[in-house]
Amino acid sequence: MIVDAHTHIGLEIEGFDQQGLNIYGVMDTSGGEYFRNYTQLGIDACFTFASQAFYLDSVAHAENEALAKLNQRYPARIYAWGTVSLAWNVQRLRSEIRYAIQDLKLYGLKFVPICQGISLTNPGFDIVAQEAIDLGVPITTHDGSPEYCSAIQVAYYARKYPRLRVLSAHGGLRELWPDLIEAVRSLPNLYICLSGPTQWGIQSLYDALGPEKLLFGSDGGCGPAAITTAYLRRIERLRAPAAHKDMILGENALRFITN
Amino acid sequence: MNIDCYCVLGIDREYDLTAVALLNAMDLAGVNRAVIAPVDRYLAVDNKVGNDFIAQQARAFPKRFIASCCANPWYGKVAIQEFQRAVKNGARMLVMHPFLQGYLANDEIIWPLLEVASLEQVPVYFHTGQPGNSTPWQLVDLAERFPELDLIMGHSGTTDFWFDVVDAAKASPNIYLESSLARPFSFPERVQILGKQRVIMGSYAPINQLIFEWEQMRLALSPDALEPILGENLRRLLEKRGAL
Repeated sequence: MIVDAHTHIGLEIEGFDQQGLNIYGVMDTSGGEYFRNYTQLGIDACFTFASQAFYLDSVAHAENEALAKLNQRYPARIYAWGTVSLAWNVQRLRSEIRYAIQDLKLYGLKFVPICQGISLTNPGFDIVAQEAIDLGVPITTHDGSPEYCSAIQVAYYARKYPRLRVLSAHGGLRELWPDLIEAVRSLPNLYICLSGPTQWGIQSLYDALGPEKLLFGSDGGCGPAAITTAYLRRIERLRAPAAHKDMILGENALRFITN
Repeated sequence: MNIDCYCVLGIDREYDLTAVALLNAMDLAGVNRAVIAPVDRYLAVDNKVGNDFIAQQARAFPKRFIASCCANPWYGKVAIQEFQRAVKNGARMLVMHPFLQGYLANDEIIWPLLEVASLEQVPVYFHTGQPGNSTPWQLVDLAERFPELDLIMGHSGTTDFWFDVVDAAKASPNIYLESSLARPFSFPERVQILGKQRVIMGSYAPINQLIFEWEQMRLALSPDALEPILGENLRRLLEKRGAL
């Protein structure tokens, strides 16, 4: 069972007309194409995130709804997460989070502070944490990007809210993965998605932490399939027993999402 | 000829690449030659120790390894002297790491060193991608200040500066994009815009696995772009001082 714990999809969003190519230089994929591509790659399920809402808060509500439809269409294969804008006022923030989780049945909340233009230390993220804890869902956030969401900022956010399950979405990217080693070791609620570190970084994280809190992820879905195959191959090349690779490739993600 | 632009040779806290292991990987990946660079410790301090080690390794495998060298500009005139000594000993590329060495990439502290590198016709490899210290546009500032100097944008601004890369390279014809850490699928479009003469293959072994990185890049590039990007572009820069 392989679960890609970090994918994006460019769905048709009501009231929004995407013109031309996305940031990866390709046309957005429909739900069907996205699903077919992942099936061809041998991936059984995905954590599926938005794409436009991180740039345009005005489409977040509609994109969450589009993701919910995808969830319904591919149950147990797509684990769609919603998002909200931290620029919204507290009342709207709380209400959209509750709508996304309770009404739309999305599995968690995803953030890209570097695109959303708001630091993880913004008070809006306190609201997010309170609501997510109350609703019993995890959050995942882009990491590795100073100044809004470096790996250690994610770690301190997780430390501030020990009852919030936090998935650091890129493992600190190419440079900042070392910041996560001690943090993940000491914080039971902090997990790492491996879509970002170098081969050396992935191996070092595994050697230091073992397999339990590491999740395979690619950040693919909106771009070429090579994004995904590259990270699959990085896990293949990891010096680890097959049972540990199975955990990283899918078992950990399933346990994380169904907790 | 296939040349890997950046391999870190040595054993230290974050590296463990021996000459034998590197040669083995190069053979398996079909890589003829590799530019070898010292580990981080020697980029930051004890430049001479690092340069001597790299020169010795290059002398031991003269058909396979090409020496680079380092000089931390905080050492002032001593850095320039060390760079000149390393070049006399065979170094063909200067490595700068503004984040590790502690300055902004375009800070005046490095200008004297770059002036000498320009005179010596030695290309300069900058580690880029670290916010504040080493970004593509800081490299453009240098490229405009030293138009005769070849600047290699190590890692092509990865991770967070990948949007800047094409415009920065368009602004300065003496900037070359090195591929390590960047995702290979991003290069075909860059090649289309900038031309196939402006991109250089590097693996950054052992931070990355050399064989894997070469496989990925070969899959991403069109056949006509393979020869220049996988070796000829770098060879052209390195041979400005004479044949390799």
